Amino acid sequence: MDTQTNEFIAIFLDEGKTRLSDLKNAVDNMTNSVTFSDSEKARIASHTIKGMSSQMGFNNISEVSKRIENFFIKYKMLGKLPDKESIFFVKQSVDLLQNLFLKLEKDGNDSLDISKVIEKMDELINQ
Amino acid sequence: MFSIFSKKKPKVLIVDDDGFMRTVISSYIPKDIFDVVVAKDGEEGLKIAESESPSIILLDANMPNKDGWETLVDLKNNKKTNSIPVLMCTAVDDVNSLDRAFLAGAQGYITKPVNKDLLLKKIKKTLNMEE
Repeated sequence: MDTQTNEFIAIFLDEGKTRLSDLKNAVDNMTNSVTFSDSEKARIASHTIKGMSSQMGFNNISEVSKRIENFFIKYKMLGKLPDKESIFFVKQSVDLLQNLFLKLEKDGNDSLDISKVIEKMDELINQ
Repeated sequence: MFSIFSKKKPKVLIVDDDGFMRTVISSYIPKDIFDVVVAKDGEEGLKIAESESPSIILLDANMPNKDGWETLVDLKNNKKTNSIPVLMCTAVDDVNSLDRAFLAGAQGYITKPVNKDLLLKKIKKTLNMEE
């Protein structure tokens, strides 16, 4: 890998972990009480992670964060708040995202099985 | 029109809340041809657009607080900035944003992930620069 790519990965991990922390905090808050403010914070954080990861070609991180963003976009468009049961599954997606970041930091790739989480999130988004 | 014989380099203002994307986009722009300034949100973008008079603005659509759309409206309503061409940066899967970008007065758009060659082509085309 060239110097610039390594530099980009370092910045990606640094900025990405900050956004992941924002996302995690917002979703954790929503396991207690679901609010529009936290819902919007989660949407923006997942949108940013999606953009950064697609730029770097980290497709699993991109696909999971895209589902999380789409979930919150759906409720924003509906003008409603998601129920706590749905938030439970979003939290699982955020946990997976965290593991993908750890994998990337450790091995330089984001290769983990994301299929079950993607399937469940697609179900939530399309229902 | 900017040409290779112009002494003054065209200035590109990048407005994006994401530090990673600011770094990547900035790295794609050759500094021997362009000057680059950055802003981390819409408010800062408006201030820098007024003070630095950039030749072109690359404006991220999706930002917290004042988003790219609101920033674009403010740029177009300001006498000092309304003639600066704006390219909106939107996610590639957000097709609705593309129509919205033109309706809101943007000169064009750039989709994310950003392709370096396409980015430079669009900047040069917008600024009528010789290839």
